[in-house]
Amino acid sequence: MTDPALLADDLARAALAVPGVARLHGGALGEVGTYLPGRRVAGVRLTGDLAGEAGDALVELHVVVTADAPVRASAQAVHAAAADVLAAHGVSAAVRVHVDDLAA
Amino acid sequence: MTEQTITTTKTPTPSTTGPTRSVATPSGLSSEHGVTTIADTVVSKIAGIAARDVSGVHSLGGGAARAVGALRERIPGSRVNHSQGVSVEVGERQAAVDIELIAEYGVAISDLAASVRRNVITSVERMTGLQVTEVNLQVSDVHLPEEDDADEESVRTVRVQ
Repeated sequence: MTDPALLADDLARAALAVPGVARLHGGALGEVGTYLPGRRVAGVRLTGDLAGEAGDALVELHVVVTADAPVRASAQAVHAAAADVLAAHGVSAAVRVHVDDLAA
Repeated sequence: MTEQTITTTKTPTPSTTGPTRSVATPSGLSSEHGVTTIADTVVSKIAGIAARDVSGVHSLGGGAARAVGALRERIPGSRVNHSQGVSVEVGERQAAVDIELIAEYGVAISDLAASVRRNVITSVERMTGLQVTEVNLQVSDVHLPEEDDADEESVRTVRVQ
């Protein structure tokens, strides 16, 4: 089974590396994140069975896009980057990219 | 959100993480040369530390346990009770854990519960070799950040004067 801490870190790094992504967004209350021992990866939510037995694994990425970037294209690029990370970890999961805000 | 409704597949899992899925296979606790027994305290301490460590958990225990714990900590020379809010059942090869906790305000409690469960299971299984059959969590309260500030501010004003 893949380590959720490593997966969340890699997903966060991949999303931030996409041009046009300013930062990850932890949700209105700060509730969106991966809760780990000692820390939290904000903006990355892993739900369901990541081992893939139940087939309900879902990755949510909440991003803030810079105001000059095309929102749809940036979100698509984040989606592709996340898919690459999941493939590298051998995890099959649905990916949902949420654009939570625009950075002025 | 919607993930609860999605899990209508083959096996009816009782919670987000199947507690029966164990990471480590228990081994080495009994052989023909002798048996190793692990006390309840050991398991409850490990489980308590693992649960408290997860970001988003404010503290362990319900109202009464926390009140007693707060008194205990004022006694000079007393140590922190790591098993506060934790009760366990330990068998020869398996353990079951019940934890009562207080979450931080603003966390997704279902996600937090899944993380606590995972961290407790891996910690107990790795350190003791016991198979954890279930981790039941009771979230008894949410902690608001203002609840701390109220006490601190009164202390601060006294200091300034």
